[in-house]
Order: sequence, then C-alpha cells, then structure tokens
Amino acid sequence: MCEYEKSLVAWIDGELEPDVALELERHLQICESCSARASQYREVSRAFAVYCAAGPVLKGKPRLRWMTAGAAGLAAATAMILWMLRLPVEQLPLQVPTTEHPPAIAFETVPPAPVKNVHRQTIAKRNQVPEPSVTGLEPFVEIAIPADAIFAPGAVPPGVTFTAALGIGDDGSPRILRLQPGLK
Amino acid sequence: MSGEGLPFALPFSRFAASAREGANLFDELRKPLLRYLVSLGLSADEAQDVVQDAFLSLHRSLTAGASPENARAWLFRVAHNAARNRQKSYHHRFAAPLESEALDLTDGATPERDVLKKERYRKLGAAIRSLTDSERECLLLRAEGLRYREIGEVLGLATSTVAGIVDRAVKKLAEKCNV
Repeated sequence: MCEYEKSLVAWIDGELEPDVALELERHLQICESCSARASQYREVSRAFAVYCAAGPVLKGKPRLRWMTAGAAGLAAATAMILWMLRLPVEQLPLQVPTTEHPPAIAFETVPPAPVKNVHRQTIAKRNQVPEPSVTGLEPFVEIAIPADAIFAPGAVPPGVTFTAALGIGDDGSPRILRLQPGLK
Repeated sequence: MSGEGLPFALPFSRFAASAREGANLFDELRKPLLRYLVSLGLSADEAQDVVQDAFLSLHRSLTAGASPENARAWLFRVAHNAARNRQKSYHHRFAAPLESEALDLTDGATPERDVLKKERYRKLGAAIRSLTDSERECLLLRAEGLRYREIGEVLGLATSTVAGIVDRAVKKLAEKCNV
C-alpha cells in the first residue's frame, strides 16, 4: 500500500496543508494506483451525497400515502357513523308529527276479533271494543291497512288485514296507536 | 490538516452587523440544515421546527452578546443536538433500507443502465447502514460542505479524529460498493 493513500480522502476534501497537498499531487501524476483510488473515493463521496439528498425525500412518499389513506379511511368511517346516528333522527318526523313537546305514544295490539264478526263490524261497533288503559282520548281514528303494506310479502297469511286505531289527545297530538289484526 | 482559510466561515459579528447578512445566512444554511436533519431521520416538520429553534437560539445568543467564531458550525451543532434528543426519529433514518423502487436515481438513458444504477445505489444503501453513527454523521456533515474542524465542533470531536473517521468511512463505502 502506497504511503500517500492515507491522505487521499483529506486531499479530496481540501484539508491538507498546501505543501503536503502539492507533494501528493505530484505523486498522483506518477502513481496509477493512488490516482485510481482518489477517483474512487471522490465518486463514492458524490454518490453518498446524492443518495442522502434523494433518500429522505423519496422515503416520505409511502409514509404520505399511508397517512392519506388512513385519513381518508377515518373520514369515511366517521361519515358512516354520523350517517347511521342521524338516520333515526331524520326519520322521526316522518313517523311522529313534530310538536313542541312530542308525546309518548302507547303502541299496542289487541287479539284478532272473531272471524264471524269481521264482516259485520262497522266502525261504530269496533269502537265498542274494550278501551285500552288510555281512555278519554277521543276521537279515535280507525284506518284499515292491508297486511302487505306493513309486512313483507308472504309474511302474513292471505286475507289478514289490520285496523289501526289512533287516539288523538286534546292538544291534537297522537296519544295511542292500536293495531288490530283481522280477516277480510 | 489545515484548519485555516475556512471559505464558509461565517463569524457571528458579521451576522450581527447587518440584518441583511443575517437573512443571507438564513437563506444559505436553512436548506443544508434541513437536509442534514432529515438525513438523520427527522420528519420534514420536525426538521423545520429544529431549524427555526436553532436560528432563534442564534438570535438570543447574539442578543446576549455572545460571539462564537463560526455561525455555521454553531447552527449545525444546535441542530445536531436537537436531533439527538429525538432519539426515536434519529435511529429510524437508516434502520431500514430505502425502497429501491422509490429511489428514482435513474437517468432513463437505457433500461440496462438504470438497472445497474439502482443496483449500485442498493449496495450503497447497505454500505451506509453498516457505518457507525459517528461515521455516518461525519459523512453527512461533510456532504453539506462542512470542514473537518466544523464537523469536530458539531460532534464534539478533535479535527484529527474527524479526519480519521471520514477517511475510514469513505474507504469502507468504496470497498463495500466496489466503486
């Protein structure tokens, strides 16, 4: 190994005293081995600088992608949860008329009336059915509803129908909803 | 080794004398500092914070009447210490190989040449990871243009020690990369 080789890196970096540097430069003109090594060290130093300058910037890209994907996923999940939470709130006004103080609605069903009587019963006769515990909430409004309108097709035997009796309070708000199944 | 004639030496008195020169100092050193900190493993945001803090410390030092000889080495030392305090980021930088597909160091001349270049940088990355912390830090500071004496000031080492570390590190890289 050439004795000048230990000074090559310092010479490349301009860290040698001027007289030592001059002596080394004279040597490089006649020593192929040292000249080749000097080129090698200079090249690897340049490559190191390029690598370190390029690496961190490019390395940031995948991290950025993951962060973006994570943020998008979080936003989607949040939107989904909010949508699910908002759904009943949005549907409530469709089911219950909005009032300043929404009343509690008693919902109940009564056993089906005898088949014989169904055809003969009039609206007036149906009103004679024993009243539920909430009484005095006249007037009742009775609405005949086909079973297919409430349940999925095939879920209820053919011919079954329902009568909804809606009790309205004095303030006009719904107080009771009674659902009575029957046959046509 | 020569400690004389530092072409990049920026005495604090110069900085203090003129606000314009102070702004020039910020413009000149901001990017090298950021690059060094990111190379040490800090995120871009962390590096920005550290650089701002370093210049703020410089301003306070000047206000307090301190006049260190070399502003550049001083700033790099402050930044280096701040990075060291963020140990998690610091050790993250070279812990894993860089994604070779992400390293767009190709010049597009020919596919064969691009492949060779990528292979070369892959080997270089492996060689860099095999260096010690001191060797890497010395080479990073050297790549930013710091003189051996300035590197010594940043890392708290003697100039002759820095020369030995740089010499050893460059030779290691050359040997492992077979450049």
